[in-house]
Amino acid sequence: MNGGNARTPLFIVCSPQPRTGCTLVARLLVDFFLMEGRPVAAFDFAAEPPSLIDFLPGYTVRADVTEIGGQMALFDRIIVSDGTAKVVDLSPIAFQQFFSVMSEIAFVADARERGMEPIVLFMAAPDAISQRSYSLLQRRFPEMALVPVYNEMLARADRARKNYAVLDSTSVAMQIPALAPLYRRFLDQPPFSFAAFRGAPPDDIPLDTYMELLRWMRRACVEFRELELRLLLNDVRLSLQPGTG
Amino acid sequence: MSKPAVILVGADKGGVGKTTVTRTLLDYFVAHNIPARAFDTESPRGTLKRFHPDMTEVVDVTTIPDQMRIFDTLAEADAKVTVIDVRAGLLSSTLRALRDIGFLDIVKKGQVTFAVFHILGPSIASLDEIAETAAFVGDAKYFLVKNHINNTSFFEWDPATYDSYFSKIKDAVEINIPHLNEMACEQVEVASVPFLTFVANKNAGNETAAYSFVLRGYVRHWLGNVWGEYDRVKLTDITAGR
Repeated sequence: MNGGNARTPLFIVCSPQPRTGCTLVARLLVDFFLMEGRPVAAFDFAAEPPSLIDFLPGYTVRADVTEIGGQMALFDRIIVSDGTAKVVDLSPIAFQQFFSVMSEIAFVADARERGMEPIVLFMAAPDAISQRSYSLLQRRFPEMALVPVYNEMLARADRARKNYAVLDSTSVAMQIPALAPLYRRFLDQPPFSFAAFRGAPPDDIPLDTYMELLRWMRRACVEFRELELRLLLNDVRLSLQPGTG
Repeated sequence: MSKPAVILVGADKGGVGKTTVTRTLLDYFVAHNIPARAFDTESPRGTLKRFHPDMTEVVDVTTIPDQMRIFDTLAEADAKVTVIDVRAGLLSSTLRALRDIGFLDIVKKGQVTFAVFHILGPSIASLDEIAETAAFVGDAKYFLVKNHINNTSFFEWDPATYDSYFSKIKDAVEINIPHLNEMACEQVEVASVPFLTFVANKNAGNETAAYSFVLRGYVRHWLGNVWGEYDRVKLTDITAGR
């Protein structure tokens, strides 16, 4: 994730429930890479606008795993370790099938063998379905980083922490800071790139609003950087283990 | 030297997946380092030989010279296991020929291990084949293989009828070959390589190929399940004469 010899990251931003902030996290993540000047490709499962492809059309393609053709178009692309970070914005409708295919084709083991690092960013919502799905993923893919993401804009998300156990040092929870609706409306009109927004403030936004949005983006980016560091440290730790030469 | 093993894969009906099952068997033996050879009875052009050219000979099992090529060489062949992919419609007549040449007698004496993989189709006619075949397989390991690779639903069978046929053969064991995604199946056909080679992303010349990762994943998963069935029936023990 940090260039050099690190693995190429593959982020799967997901939730089995709608309206948990998946697309917002996926957007932030794509823009995080763009702001860092690193190559990124995004894959959008959403059927209805506005979705990731509407916000970041230049970096996003549609994805669908209901048919074998769509599965090949997606998985054959995201397993390529070409130094381009991949971000998958997984819709609740595709949630089950995506992970079923992933399991059946033994994606994680192969991806890791090829120098990819699959990381699931799971929107930690307080409902029972989300919590159960998180536990199931944890059991089904024990070798994959599963990171609970607490979206402060989601009511009561933070109270569910005890139900989202993290099993390793890579999977430490992430926090998406709250942003008042007053400010959000500036971000929710597609197309919109945080990277472009940071570089060129629009004329119609008051300066204090612009500064507040930049602060919020910086806080979100800090979360991604910390995750990046944890992944790097994990790589170093694994490379120092005897027999991994 | 351990005794040789002969596996006959057949059905009296075409299109039920005999060659596919034979291919999974050959891959299984390769993966378990069990020396094997195969005979493809689709003379003059064999489908099996297209996938496993190095270990397959095309023979006409109805002719005496080719029967000699198979059965007179069992003891001296390097291969421990001989797999015969019997052409559609020839299972009963092949078994009859094996009886006539005395092969079933040496099986009875324990000099050769003999197993029959009877591939079943979805029709009632397949059940009649079981009864017909039963007369010849008294000392063989007899496997009734339900091949679901093409999503075959065994719709014409009611369980009671099936059980009555099944019970006609003492110690018959059922094997289920699971469904394989159609496109994955088709791509292996097009590649004309063993399933294992496809999974390893190699072409017939052992060079790196560009098969879809997804399709290879499906084939690997499916092959694992098929081999799970072979492990369940202890196929390696059977071929080792245990």
